[in-house]
Amino acid sequence: MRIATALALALAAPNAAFGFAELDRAEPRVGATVAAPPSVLTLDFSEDVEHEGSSAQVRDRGGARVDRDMRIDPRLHHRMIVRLKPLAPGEYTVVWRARSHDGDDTQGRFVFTVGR
Amino acid sequence: MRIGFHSACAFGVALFAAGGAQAHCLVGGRMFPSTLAIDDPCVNDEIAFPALAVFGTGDRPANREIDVSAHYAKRVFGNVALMVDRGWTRLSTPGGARAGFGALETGVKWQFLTLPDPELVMSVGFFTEWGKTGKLSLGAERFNTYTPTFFFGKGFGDLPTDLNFLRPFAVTGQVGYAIPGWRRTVAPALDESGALAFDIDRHPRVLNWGFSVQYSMSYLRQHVRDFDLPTTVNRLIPIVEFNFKTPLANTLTSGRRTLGTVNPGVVYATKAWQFGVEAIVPINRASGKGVGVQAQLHLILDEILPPALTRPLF
Repeated sequence: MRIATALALALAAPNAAFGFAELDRAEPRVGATVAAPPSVLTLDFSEDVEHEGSSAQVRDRGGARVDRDMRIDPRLHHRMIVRLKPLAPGEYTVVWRARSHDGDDTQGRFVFTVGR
Repeated sequence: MRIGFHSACAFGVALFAAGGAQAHCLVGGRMFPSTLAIDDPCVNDEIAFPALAVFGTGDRPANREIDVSAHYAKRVFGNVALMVDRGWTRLSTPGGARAGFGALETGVKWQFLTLPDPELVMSVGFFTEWGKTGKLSLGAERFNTYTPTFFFGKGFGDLPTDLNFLRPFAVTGQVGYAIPGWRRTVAPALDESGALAFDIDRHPRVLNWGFSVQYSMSYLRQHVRDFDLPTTVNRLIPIVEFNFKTPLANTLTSGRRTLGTVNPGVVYATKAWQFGVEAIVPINRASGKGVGVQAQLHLILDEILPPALTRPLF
């Protein structure tokens, strides 16, 4: 019984400080088509991410970089903010890497489209 | 050239400690879940308990078997783990039921390759099923069986975005060669005339092979298209596992027929725990009768216990 209780508590309250970072939400959304070109891309992760070891790049269909810079939100450490150059209609590929506090690295790649 | 003992130890530590595996079976953007019929391709601090299976055996007439097993793995280096498995079986036969523990199995596994961009991971392991540690009437043996095994995992996230909806697919697999410590067992018996004779049971060397095909809804959401589905759906990984045994050598008694099952199911995967349930569909009558079921609760200890308890020993 004690073991079962300890197990249930452990499952209910996993050690949040030691998880890898999953992409919870992106704006523009992953795979979405947006009508107006965004000036900023935000990536919200499930965990706080370290600036060192984390990155995000945005490229157009021809492979040219259209991101200006990336920073971690100083108030929300799980959020990456990527400033973008003016985007023409077309398809853009986001490549991100995120390092959580425990050193686990994750990465991803997705596309969003700016409509005409 | 002579190499000192301490130099050899230092080399060994450097080799295995280099490129330590992550806490999960996490390769780039891909998390390979713990699978039920075959082993996943990574090393972790983990417990699988309970793992349950209920199915009809390949005997004629078929018996009903219930297995309850546990698996524990502990990393000794960043990418090397020791593991131990033990199971309990209840077998219902027309002549009555019997139950007991199966053989103790231990192993060591080395995750020697982890490539994030192509989502490729490979491991090798050496496993020993110890003789005289399980109930003989339930299939345990008096001798050890040694199984060197190769594991792999490959995600398809590196496909071009034109094939976007195929990118959540991944395959994992394993190939092992089970080598019994005894080539044969000879037991006295009486022949049809009542004279003393000997039963010779040859123990085949068996190729244990299997693979899984899986589709990660989490990968779909993070890398392909966020459909804003409920979290419960986003944590599902529909999966089909294929698990086979093919006798290759010393097969005079056993024959060479491949036995195995196909296991369609689903895994619900969070960071701290996973729960999987699958059907057990035998590929032929000798592999079983009817459709069985298996389920497993898998705990990722790195996410549950304090780091001091789950970091590699060296």
